[in-house]
Amino acid sequence: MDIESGLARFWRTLRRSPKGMTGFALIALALGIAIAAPLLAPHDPSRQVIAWRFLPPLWEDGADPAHVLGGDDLGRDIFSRVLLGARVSIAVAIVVVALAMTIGSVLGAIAGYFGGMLDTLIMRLAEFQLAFPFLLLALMFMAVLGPGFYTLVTALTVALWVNFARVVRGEAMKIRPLEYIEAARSIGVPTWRIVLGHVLPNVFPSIVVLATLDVALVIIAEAALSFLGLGVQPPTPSWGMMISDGRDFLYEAPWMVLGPGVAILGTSIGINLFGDFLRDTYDPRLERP
Amino acid sequence: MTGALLELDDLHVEYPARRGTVRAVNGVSLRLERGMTLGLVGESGCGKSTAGQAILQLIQPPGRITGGRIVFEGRDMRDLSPEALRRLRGDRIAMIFQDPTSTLNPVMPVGAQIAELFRWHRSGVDGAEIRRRVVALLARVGIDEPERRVRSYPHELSGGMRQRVVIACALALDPALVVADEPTTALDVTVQAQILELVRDLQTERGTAVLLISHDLGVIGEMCDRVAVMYAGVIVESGAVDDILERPRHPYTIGLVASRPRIGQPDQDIRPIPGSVPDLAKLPTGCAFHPRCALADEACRNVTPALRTIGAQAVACHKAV
Amino acid sequence: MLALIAKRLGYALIVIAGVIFVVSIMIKLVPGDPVDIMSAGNPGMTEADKDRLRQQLGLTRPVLEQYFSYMGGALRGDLGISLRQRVPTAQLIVERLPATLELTFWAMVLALILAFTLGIVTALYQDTLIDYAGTIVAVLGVSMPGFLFGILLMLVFSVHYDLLPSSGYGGSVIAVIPRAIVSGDPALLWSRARYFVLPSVSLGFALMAINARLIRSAMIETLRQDFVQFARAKGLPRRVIYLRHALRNAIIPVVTVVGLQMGALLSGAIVVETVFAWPGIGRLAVQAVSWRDYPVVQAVVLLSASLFVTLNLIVDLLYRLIDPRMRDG
Repeated sequence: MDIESGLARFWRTLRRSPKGMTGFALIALALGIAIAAPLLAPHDPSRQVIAWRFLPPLWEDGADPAHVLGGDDLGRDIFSRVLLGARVSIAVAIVVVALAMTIGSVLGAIAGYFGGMLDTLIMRLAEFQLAFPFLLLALMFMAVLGPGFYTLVTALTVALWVNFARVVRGEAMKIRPLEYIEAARSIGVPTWRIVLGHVLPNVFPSIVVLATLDVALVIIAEAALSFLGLGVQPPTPSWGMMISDGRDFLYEAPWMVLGPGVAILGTSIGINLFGDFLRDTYDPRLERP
Repeated sequence: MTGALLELDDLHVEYPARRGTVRAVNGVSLRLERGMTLGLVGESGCGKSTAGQAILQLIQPPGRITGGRIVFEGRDMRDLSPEALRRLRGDRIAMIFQDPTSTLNPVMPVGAQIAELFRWHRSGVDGAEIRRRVVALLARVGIDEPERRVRSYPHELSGGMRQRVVIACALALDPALVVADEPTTALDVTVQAQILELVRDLQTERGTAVLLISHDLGVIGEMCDRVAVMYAGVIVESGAVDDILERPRHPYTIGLVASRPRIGQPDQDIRPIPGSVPDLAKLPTGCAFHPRCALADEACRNVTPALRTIGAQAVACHKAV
Repeated sequence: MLALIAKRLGYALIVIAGVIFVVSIMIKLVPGDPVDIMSAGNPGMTEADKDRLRQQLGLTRPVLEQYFSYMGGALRGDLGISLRQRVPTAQLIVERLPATLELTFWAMVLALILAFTLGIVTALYQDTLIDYAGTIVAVLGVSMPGFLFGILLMLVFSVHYDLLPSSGYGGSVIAVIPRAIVSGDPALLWSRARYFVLPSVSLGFALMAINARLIRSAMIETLRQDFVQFARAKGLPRRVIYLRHALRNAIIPVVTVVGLQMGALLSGAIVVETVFAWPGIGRLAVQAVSWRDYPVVQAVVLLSASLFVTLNLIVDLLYRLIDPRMRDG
């Protein structure tokens, strides 16, 4: 498969889909913000100025154009915090999905290709894990390991690897009895090569779709955990935590939740639209997790 | 032209597809008398199933009937209200589809699937009476232990039995006309014979008219009084079954009849008709058969032949004698 | 069929035993000494106190002994004592479980009613404006986090228009339904139901959006089947065709997924309860985690996981009941 022409084809399909383009644009925006946040932020997100406490946003009276989204309860600039918050959310999402995808695919390939005890072991582990509702699993990790970035990543990775494993396992099981695989084995091609060369290309589109949709899931999950106070700890700004703070001041300063809220919603919608477009294009049979 | 049970007059059915408008039925005219069995024969893709479905107005959007009349018992079906149409279906006209496995609802017991015809068409009949009639119907179509089978689900029955259930549904309310679309194609050969015999018996018993749609000339030959041969959405020849089979006049019909393998003549090669059926979205000009016809000339390529009488049958061909 | 039930039940019990195992050794997995971590905020604890705590938490015991001890206790109804609140964990749970269960129940009911309506309507009016609106709702449903939706609802209905309470619990609605019917007093129902509205809608929204899509595709797929065409050929009324024939078949794939969604519902309840300060076990769990109140965390996890496994079992059996083709496994 020629990568360049493949990409060109993909781009053409994308351009014809309004859903895909909207999603892509939103994702690009979010990524751009995440990367350029320190440069784009007008103020230091941790800087607390008393005069900025409960400063209304631009569309209300008494606003200050230097603070587009207003100020929070501690006198910090909300706009800057939203921008920086993007970094956390997106970093966590990418790391988690990359890890889950790798671990899940490897385990799935092993389970599907070798079968037998290994397969049973891995699948039983997966099924057992599914007995724990998602957030509950995360809570357990938090209780044992304490809140923070690494626990967050661990908990979410553990919750996500199963779907990848299933998909890859299915494909690995399909190719195992095929003759040309036998032939490759008999001439001494190492197993990992076989798996990489034959399982991966077939399973690639499904994995990409799954990964994309999972990124959205993780962003929401991270926000939820931060909202509960169990995500990244202050002073690092996180959208979930900002909403949690904002809830306490819903009557006095309702705009505190709007900035991070729109950010989460926008990013999430963008990823879901794009993921939907990917699924329509490559694998319409894939069920939503 | 009065007295006929069913009359199709220049029927046109189209549906839009990505490659163009598919003209499945292009000016089909048929006539079916009471108690008569008319066969509609043609290869797959000639539009015969569509014609059958059009009679009951079962063409689903985006397909639609774009012209012609469908006159049943003197009334044009296209003028009927949806409710009037609904009442006709199942009651005066019934339909049998090809694959009994997909025709029956997998999560409903077969008895219930027959019973609902009574429920929704005969409001006066009470539950116990309905059950009696359903059991009687099952017995009549040759299903043994009908009392027990009433509660069976389709997947618990064999293919032949399922088709018998479908026939029971079709005949439950004693319709005047049954449209049977390839009723035996999905069944084993031995079962085919049984089903055909059943249909013939029931027909003789009740005087039902049957429109039998099939690609199998053998089946048509056995079951029908008259036959219409369809090709690329038009009728190319029609007449009494014996006449058509013994003295086919249209080149296509000649080819069809000749290509049947016959028992007792092992030395003969099977002679298929060269070429393949045209795409109904991209029909040839003039006579639709001309690309495959040895006799085709300028006139055939430009002018669509109309049905004219030759001998005992009607033929749509410039060259036929 | 009976053999199948027994097999599934057996399997569920094994899973629950596994859950108990994980839960019982949870404390041992904490890196470092959990007692030291916990007593960091409590300078008044002596070394003797800490040792007693270690004993109590079973930190000194070998894993298997801990496992059986915990399981024994659980079967007796003894799930330990809350470190923070000094009362039996079981008591805390019993106090709060009804609130969570009822919240989840109403969320599910609302979600399903709306999902079926939306799903069927968008399937029948495919590719029209209605369908397009349905798609927008679906995308929103999947993209909008539960807590955000809850807060937005709060903003509109509690802060901006003082229509519904932003927090609080007035007691069970189900409990007063009989009385309300007998006395013909809707106000009684409403005085309690008004507290349920915002939390249930928040919890159920995402679920509704997903299920509406599911039902829509199942319906569209089913309507293409031959037996639907046959039903039309029989001259059955449209209502009968859509509901009795099509829906009956379309439901089957949906039922399995609904069962899986119970897990998402339980997860969502944790968040929604925190948003609305709902006195349920979800909120209890979050508090317990931040306080490092291990016995409570253990108990809540055990309960939720067991509940989830049981629910899945019920759904699985229900599925086989609905689809006669699956009755023998």
